[in-house]
Amino acid sequence: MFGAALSNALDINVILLTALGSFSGVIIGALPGLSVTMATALLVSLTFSWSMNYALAMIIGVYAGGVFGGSISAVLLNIPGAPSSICTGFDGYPLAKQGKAAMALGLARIGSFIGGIIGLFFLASFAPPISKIALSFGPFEYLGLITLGLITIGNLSEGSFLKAIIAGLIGLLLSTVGMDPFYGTPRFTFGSMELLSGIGLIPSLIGFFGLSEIIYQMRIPSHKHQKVGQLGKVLPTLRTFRKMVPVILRSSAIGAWIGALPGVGSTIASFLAYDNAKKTVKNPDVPFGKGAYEGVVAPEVANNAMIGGTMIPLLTLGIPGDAVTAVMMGAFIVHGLQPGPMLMTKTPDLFWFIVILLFLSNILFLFIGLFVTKYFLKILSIRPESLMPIVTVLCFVGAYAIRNSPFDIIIMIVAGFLGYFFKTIKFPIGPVVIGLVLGSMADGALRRVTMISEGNILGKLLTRPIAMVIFMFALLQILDQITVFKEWKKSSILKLRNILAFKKQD
Amino acid sequence: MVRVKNGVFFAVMLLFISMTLTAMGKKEQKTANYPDKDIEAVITWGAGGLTDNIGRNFMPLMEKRLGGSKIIIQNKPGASGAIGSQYVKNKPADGYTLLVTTTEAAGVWNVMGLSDLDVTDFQPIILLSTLNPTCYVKSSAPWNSLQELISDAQSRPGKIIAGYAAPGSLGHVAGLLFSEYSNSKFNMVPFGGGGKVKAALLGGHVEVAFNPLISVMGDYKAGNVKILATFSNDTLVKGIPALGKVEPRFSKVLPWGLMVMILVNKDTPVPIVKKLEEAARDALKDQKWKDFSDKYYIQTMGQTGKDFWKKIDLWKSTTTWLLYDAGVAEKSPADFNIPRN
Repeated sequence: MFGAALSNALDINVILLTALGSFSGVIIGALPGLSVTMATALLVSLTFSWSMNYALAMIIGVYAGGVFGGSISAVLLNIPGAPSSICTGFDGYPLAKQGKAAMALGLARIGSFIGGIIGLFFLASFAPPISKIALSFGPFEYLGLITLGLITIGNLSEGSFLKAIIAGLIGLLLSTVGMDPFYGTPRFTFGSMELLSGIGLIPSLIGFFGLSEIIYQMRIPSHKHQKVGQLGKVLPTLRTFRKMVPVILRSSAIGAWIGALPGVGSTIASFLAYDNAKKTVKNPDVPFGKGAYEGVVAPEVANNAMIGGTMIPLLTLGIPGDAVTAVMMGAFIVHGLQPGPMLMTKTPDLFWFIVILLFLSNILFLFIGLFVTKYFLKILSIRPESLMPIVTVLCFVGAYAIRNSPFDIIIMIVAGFLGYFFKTIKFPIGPVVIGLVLGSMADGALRRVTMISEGNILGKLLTRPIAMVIFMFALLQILDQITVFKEWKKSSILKLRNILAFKKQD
Repeated sequence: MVRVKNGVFFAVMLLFISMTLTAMGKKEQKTANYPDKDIEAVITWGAGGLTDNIGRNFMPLMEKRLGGSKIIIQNKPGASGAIGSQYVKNKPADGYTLLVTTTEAAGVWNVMGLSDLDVTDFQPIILLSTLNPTCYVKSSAPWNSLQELISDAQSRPGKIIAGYAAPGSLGHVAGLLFSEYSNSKFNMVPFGGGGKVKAALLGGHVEVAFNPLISVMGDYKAGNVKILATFSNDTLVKGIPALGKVEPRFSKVLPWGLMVMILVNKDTPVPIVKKLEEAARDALKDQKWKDFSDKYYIQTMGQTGKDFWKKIDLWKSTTTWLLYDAGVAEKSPADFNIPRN
């Protein structure tokens, strides 16, 4: 079956389409305003009449390439193309300002490659057992994970903790707009039908990061624009790379695992990976948020490792975890395959075909990525007055094309001015978008837990060990912010050390 | 100098805003020699979903029967289909914009307060198909038949957890219908998506679930789930009981399912409607459509004109009153002159 899959994959058209997909994915992802989600929405109509192998080659290429491409615009322009690239901009953009963008992207690319291969390894060797464990994650465990995600808001804040929390709460508030997920009643829609489907994530992302940046740049007189001098090399030195290895490995594991959970969506993976890197890397050369390479590598690696992960529930259970895998499932159905547990037993060569395609696209866009990055870096030398109008056009196109909805353009514009206002009063935008992403998930998870436990949340929680561990972990993170607890922890560790040292002397 | 540049900049942005606004209000009117240009088909659900799949499989077959004109498919999802429908409503009634939507258009938007639009604001072309829901449990569940589940649910009301996707969705109404006619009560919990409900059931977080037949057949064949019934009067799949047969009290509202239909704007000229109806009816006879619908357990409907309204009125009355009685609908169906059946 592996042989059959390999011979299918070695079809020259398949290879070319994967390459084309990866290439266009990188380009679309890298263009500010355009996103992978948009690309997939367009891919459905494009690939509908194709044979399945060709369609899959194209979709997988675009997926893998697009996820990487998103990091390019996040780093170079501070305009992430997808929610999962938000964290990439935190350190990526400062790096770009310091003229280190090339190295940051090079590291991200190589890290993503390793992450992608690790995710793929999980998929190829442990798909069935992983999907079983993933199924054991119920509403309680999801609520725990989402809580962890929300806590990262506090850790991701630049400067004022209070401002970050307020910004996060604004995001949470915005996420409640739309149809109530439990009763179907309209919430905060003010009679507008368009608002019923909520505040679109991608349009608001484009507005908050893209349009707001454009307006912000308009205020800076052109002679004051920072000139970026030396761009540096794309390929990192061995020494720099070696320092990244622990971050890469940890972020890969986080990405692959979160990807395999069909209920949380892939965005949390990059938040958690960034948060984890910030906590575990004790002595980065540059502090996080000011241009730490680790801060670019961690979310990008997690993003890519996640791709292998998301294939697990799709192929073993027929359950798509995000927008792209939903489209892939559509492609299965169109081409006469029944998604579900029988997919792997009935058509094992399809499973291996996808594994091989993912491998292929990883290798392809390692080269495409490194090659294209060199050209994209030239963006930095374009004068803002010439660059920004183009970016404006892309923002409009990108916002509209997700759902073919003019209303999404309005959302984008409003978010743009709001984001600009935030920037001028030095309010962080990241937490707003994180709140918006996680808000509706948190809303659903909390109410689901309440309903299932019939109000006795704590009692039911005690019967779920995994959920308890996650919640303990979350609690610990909150306590860690409290000075009294920190001092107590310090002193008790010191005491423990003394006791141990004392015993050694004995 | 700086100021001039910024002014240009601002002008470009304003230009874009105004261009989008004018594009929204563009109008065209043409009736003779229909169709003599491309036709737009708006699918009111997202790309890659079930409705999208049905629409995309059907439209090429209809296109073949409409002369040289192309049918261009667009997805305009949101608000259970109300957004895409409003978009079509704002288009001229010239038959160049087709609406592919689901039966939520029949009263559900009204009673749930989502939109004032209703299927009666449109001109039906054809009722395409029904997606049948199923009631299923994990293979390790204690119930082996529908009767066992019902009597267990009756003995401990509200204790068995039943999962469904979203309020007003196929699984939700199926669950309500099931409780109502079997005098049982479940703890019904929405999971935000059909796939997520299935994952919750397989992981043992939910004990009963309601999903369309097509999305559980794979698990049924693999022996992961037991399908206790399909919401139909006739057996749809050998070995799976039909609800109407095992529980005759259900039979008057069955078959119940989410129906996909094609509509155009009201006041579309009659010859155009006739032409579209004919093309649609003929397309349903295509072998390609038969292969597709067989494979996915989609029941082909095919009603046009009066028969269309008969089906839709029954569906509307059953569904809206169920939603209202369960406290899900915020407005009474009586406010919209929907009779109780």
